[in-house]
Amino acid sequence: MRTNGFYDQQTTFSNAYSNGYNQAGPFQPSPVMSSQQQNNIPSPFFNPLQAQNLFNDPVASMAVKYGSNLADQGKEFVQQNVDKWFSISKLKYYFAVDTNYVAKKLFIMLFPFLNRDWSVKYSQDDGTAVPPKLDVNAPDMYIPVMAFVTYILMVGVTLGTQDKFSPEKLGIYASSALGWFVIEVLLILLSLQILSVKSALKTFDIMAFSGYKYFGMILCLMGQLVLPDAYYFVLLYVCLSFTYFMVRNLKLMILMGNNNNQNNNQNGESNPYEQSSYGNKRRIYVLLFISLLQPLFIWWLTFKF
Amino acid sequence: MVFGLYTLLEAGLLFVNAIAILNEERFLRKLRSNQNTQQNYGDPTSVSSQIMTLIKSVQMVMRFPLIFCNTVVILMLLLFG
Repeated sequence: MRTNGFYDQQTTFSNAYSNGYNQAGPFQPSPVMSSQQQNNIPSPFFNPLQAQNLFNDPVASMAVKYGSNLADQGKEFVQQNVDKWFSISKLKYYFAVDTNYVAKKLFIMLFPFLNRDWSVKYSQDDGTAVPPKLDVNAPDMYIPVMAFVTYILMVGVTLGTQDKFSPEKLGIYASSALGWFVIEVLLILLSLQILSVKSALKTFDIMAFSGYKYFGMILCLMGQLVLPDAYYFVLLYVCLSFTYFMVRNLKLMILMGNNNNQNNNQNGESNPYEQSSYGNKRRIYVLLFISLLQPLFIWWLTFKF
Repeated sequence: MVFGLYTLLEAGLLFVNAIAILNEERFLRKLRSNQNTQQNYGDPTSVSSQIMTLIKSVQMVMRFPLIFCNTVVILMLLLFG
């Protein structure tokens, strides 16, 4: 519809000029508009119906139309191409958070032994996970993204207190931290694949859980700013609490994904005991591996300051 | 440790190179015979079979992109040191 209007503009542009400036809208669909233009009564109030006709100059209004056309086409183009790599709607699920959720989640990260119920709630109508606004245990990407950026800023502050800061260093530390994040996510995905652990964890879930430890890193760096020796105590406590947090969070997702495999053996016969005990040992290894990666990376990315 | 994104990318490229140039005759045959006698084509989910699958798929899929990436990196190292 809009492209038709655009082409109409081009053919009737000469008409608009010949009839005077007030007929800048032969492409306007509503008949009310054309009558208002022909009357040429400038309204003293800002009438939203006339908002499109704010420019009396047809060139400017045509430029506005063209620009908005281009923006629409660009938006469609971007959406189509980005959808090929990952779906944006699934990403939106991870950002559906509110302040209540963020506060509770940060509290759980620091004091995981106070939380009693770690199960992720599923919605009853479509069986997918409930968005993080309604369930504290659901993973989200808002905290990891914000914590990552804050961590880089904290690194800058820490370097500044030691007189070692320069703006290039921010970029260097940011790209190297991003590189380590990618390496960690790839390591976890690789271990899940090699040990053939089928779990309910999606890639975004793994990215979310790997990103939670940046909050711990921020606390370690803040502790170091207060007292240089306090860093080790804060590091110890943060490592312990994050390991416990990861174990409790992933235990349900990894160890329970095994129940779906018990009756679906490939040969058609069910060996529940043999497969479940074999599978469980691997799952425990994967769980321990993921949980122990967290304190390793917390230490690795903060010890040099 | 500050490694920089480029260094990490280069390390990744070298790792994938290492997987791609594993010699078929000397090394992979031994692994494959171990796997055959052990599991008798029964268990495709064991660790060794998964690693074999991974190595085979990396070798097959990444052969062409690896040639391209290696050429690019070699040129850049030659030009910019």
